[in-house]
Amino acid sequence: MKETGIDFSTVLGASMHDMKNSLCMLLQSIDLINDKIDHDNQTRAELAQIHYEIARVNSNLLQLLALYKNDNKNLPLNVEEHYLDELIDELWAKNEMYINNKEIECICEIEDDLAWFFDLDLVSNLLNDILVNALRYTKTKILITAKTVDTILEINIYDDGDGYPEAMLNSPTDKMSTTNLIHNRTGLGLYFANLIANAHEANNLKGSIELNNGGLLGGSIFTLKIP
Amino acid sequence: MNNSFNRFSEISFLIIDDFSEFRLSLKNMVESFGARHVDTCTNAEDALEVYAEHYHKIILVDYNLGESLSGLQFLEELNHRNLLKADTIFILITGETAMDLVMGALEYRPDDYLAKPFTRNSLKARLDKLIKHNEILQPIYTSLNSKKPNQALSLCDALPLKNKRAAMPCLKIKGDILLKSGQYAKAANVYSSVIEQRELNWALMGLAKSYAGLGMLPKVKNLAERIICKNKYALAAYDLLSETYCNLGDYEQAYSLLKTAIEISPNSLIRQRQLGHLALRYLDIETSYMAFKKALQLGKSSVKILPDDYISTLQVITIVQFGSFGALSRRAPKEYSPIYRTITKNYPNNIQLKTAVELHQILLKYLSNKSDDNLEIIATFLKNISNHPDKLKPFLVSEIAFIEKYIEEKSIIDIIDETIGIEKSELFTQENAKKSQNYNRQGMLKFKQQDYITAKNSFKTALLNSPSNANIALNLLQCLYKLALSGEKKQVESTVLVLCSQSLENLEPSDHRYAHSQNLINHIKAQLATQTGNIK
Repeated sequence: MKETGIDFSTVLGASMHDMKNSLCMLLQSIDLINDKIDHDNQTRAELAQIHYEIARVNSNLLQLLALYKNDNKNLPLNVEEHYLDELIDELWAKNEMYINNKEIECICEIEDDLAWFFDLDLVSNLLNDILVNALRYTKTKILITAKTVDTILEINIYDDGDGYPEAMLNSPTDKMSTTNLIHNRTGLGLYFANLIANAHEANNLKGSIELNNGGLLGGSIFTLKIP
Repeated sequence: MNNSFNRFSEISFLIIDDFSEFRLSLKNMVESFGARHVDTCTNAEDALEVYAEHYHKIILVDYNLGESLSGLQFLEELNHRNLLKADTIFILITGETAMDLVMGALEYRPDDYLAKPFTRNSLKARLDKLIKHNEILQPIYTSLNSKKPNQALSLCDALPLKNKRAAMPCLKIKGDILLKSGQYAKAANVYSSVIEQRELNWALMGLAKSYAGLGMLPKVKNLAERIICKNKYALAAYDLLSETYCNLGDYEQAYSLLKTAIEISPNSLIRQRQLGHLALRYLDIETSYMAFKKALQLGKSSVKILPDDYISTLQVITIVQFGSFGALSRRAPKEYSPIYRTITKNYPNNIQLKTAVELHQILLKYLSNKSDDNLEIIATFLKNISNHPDKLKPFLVSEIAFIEKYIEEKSIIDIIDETIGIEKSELFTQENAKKSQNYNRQGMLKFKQQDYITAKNSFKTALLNSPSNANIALNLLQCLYKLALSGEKKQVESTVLVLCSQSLENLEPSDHRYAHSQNLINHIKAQLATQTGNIK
């Protein structure tokens, strides 16, 4: 590589830029089509599927680049104060087409004027990843809650699907094995979510994620805790 | 719904992207929200002109603009040209997560980052949020745009009482205003209050700058090191730290730090310029040569370039040409003429710059043929300069000093002493950072005790020992202002004022010290004028 005078991260950056542009155009075209066509059940399902796959390709790209650049550790953060209602509003907006096409009921419960310190971009990507996954597996409903518990921010995403498979509940996300990553579609996403959560530190505490089943809607529960 | 439609119809947009499909698609999106005034540009250079004409409310710019300046450099240029209105919403669109970009951009932060891909809905949600935030702060922006910082400061205290969500942005603006008006102790309080809640990067940086203004250099050093440790891409912290090392006289540390910063981001003209100078100091000629050349290249589309950069580059090319740097030395003679051409084109009316270039050309002639005739030409030329009515600019002084290094003829040195004797003693006193820091501290103590005359003398000695230290120059200016106010106008010597101006000349308009120094100079001049009037 060095002999050709091109450095790999430059190539990666350039092709990433290009792929992102394509994804962006793709999403916008689908947006337009979505506005124009009749929505019978099958087109709804197909559109939802396309949206889901685009979201996945995108988050994979993001994760790859971030992992490559940061050598798997030492994620630099851009921490600012953000209001949780604004964060969740934007999550809904990002997935509005998917939600409408799958006809899923989305609710959120957020403490009034709840604000917290975190990296908006990273946390929003993390939650979007989980939300897209929950939208894929839920049956009728999604509930997002945000509250403070003992000086820690706790965000929960509930669905009424079948819940996480037993194997996922029991494997600690921070010690993902390579087989897990390869065989599990959500493995890499969770690994990355854990990385982002851990990078948020305050008062000698680290952020974390948790997977559970049951809860308010009886499906899966994803929990993000940020100190 | 109706309301938000109307809102967009009143908002002007500027969209900048080199990718035409994307530009168009973005334009269609904002028009579908109801926007009626949407301008598009393919590159930053055009966008600067278009913005200067219309001052759009919202700028949407892609980070990657191909050959042209990047979206972030576009923001820098807007700041450097003092074009950017306080209430303009600047949104940087990126293909990557924002974190890679945020790192370099502590100094010039876009109001928001928008990560690709986004849908019409998510763009709308984001714009709604930004417009809402902007509206809350609008009264402050209005005061700032009409240059009423004190009004803005009191609004920063008042607005959060009405709307809790204004609290953090108000603290940020408040700190910024205080820094720009030189109220460092108050600024430090604001930033400390933020840090008590959370160690935010901009607050750490603001606190470091406040301490720099207060002359507490060891504290600046600690904070800047802390920021870099948290975030190895925090370039603004590198710049502040290397300036601090220089002011402490630790040029070696400054040099090695700058080299690291340049590796992270080579596209800063100011950093390349500094690297060029420091490399020269350590006789690392090749590094200096590359740095100045890169600076000129970056200067092609930037207002940050100064006449001094061209002269420094000419000098370092000459050092290379007459040194032994192999191919580099052989190529050097071809490098002059493009620079001469650029100078003539960009500065057709700068007489002193023209003189400096001519001087350089006859020096080159002499160096390739050390005849008495050529020496005589130089001597005549220098004599003419000593008749120059205006005070000599630093770059001309630097060129004359450069000649002195190359010609060991006593007759020439005598003429040089006559020509730039005073400037030389001011500009080229052996820099003594330690001595300078001691005098600066003494000056600040006396200033606090309101003994302005003693303070002035201390600051003056401090500045003479460290002529490029902008903080000391600012202290001295503040002192002169107090003296002018208290009627001690005899103490406000014009030579000292010029000394300050020279040290502050290279500050960028975006530097918080720039506005402050300009204000002080204007106030001092106004004071002097009214007093003369009274005496009459």
